[in-house]
Amino acid sequence: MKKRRTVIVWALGLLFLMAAGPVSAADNDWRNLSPKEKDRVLRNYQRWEKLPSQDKEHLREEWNRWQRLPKDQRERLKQRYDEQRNSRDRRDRD
Amino acid sequence: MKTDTPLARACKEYEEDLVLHYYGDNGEEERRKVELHLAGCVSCRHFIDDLKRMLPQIARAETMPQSFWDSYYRETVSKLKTHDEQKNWWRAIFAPMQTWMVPAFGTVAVVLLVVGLMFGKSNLISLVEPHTEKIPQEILADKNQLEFFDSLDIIEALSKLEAQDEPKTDVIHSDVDRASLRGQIA
Repeated sequence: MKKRRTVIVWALGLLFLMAAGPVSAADNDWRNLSPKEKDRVLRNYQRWEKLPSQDKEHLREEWNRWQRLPKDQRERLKQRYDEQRNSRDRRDRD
Repeated sequence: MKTDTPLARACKEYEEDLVLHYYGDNGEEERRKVELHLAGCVSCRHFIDDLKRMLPQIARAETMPQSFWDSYYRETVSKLKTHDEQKNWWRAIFAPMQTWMVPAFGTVAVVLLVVGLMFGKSNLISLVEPHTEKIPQEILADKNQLEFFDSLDIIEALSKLEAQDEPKTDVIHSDVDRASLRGQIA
C-alpha cells in the first residue's frame, strides 16, 4: 500500500515534469519573438478565432501539408510570399 | 540519629563495585580487586561500613496488599500513556504525511532543478516579471501551435503560392517535351 502510494506520487511528479517541459519551451519561444512577430501571431490568432470551423479544419489540413513539404520547397514558397508581401507593402506606401 | 548521617565518600570508580560487593553480586575477580582496594583505602572502608549499617534498614520494606500493586500498575501505565501522547503529539500530526513526504519533496527538488536549468540567468528576469500582455493559452500550448499562428498567412496563401510554382514546372516540362520532340524529329 505504502509502496504503491510512493510509486503513484513519483509517477505524478514525472508526468508534471513532462507536461511542464514543452509548455515552458513554448513560453520561452514566445519571449524570443520580436514585438512585430508577436503582433503578427496575436493578430493571426484573433483572426483564426473568428473563422468558421470548416475553414479552421481546412487550414489545419493545409498546415499539415505545409509541414510535410520538403524543406527547400518550403523555403522557396516562404521567400516568394515575403517578396510578394514586401512589394505589396511598398505599393501600399506609395 | 545515626541513620540520618550521609554516606561516607568512596572513590568514584569503586562506588558501584562497592555496592555490588556488599550484596555479593560481583564476580570473583571483581571481588578480589575490591578487597585489595579496601585494604588500602580508608574512605572506601567507611563507605562500605555505612552501607552495612544503612541498607538493612532501607531494605526492610513494608508488605503491600495486591490491590495496592494493581492500582500502582494501572497508574503507571496511565502516566506512561499520557507521557507518550504529550511527547509525540507532533508525530501524530505528521504521521499521515510521512509516506508521501519523501517522494513529494524529491519531486519538488527535481522541479526546481529543471526550472533552474530551463530558465537560464538571462531568462530568469522575464520569468519573475509578470507578462504585461495576456497571451491566449492556445498559442502557448506547444511550439507547434506558436509556429502555426506565426505562419497562418503563408498557410492561407499556400495553394496560391504552389499554383504560382506550377507554371514554372509546366514550362520546364514543356521545354523537356520540346527537346525530346526535337530529338525525335532529328
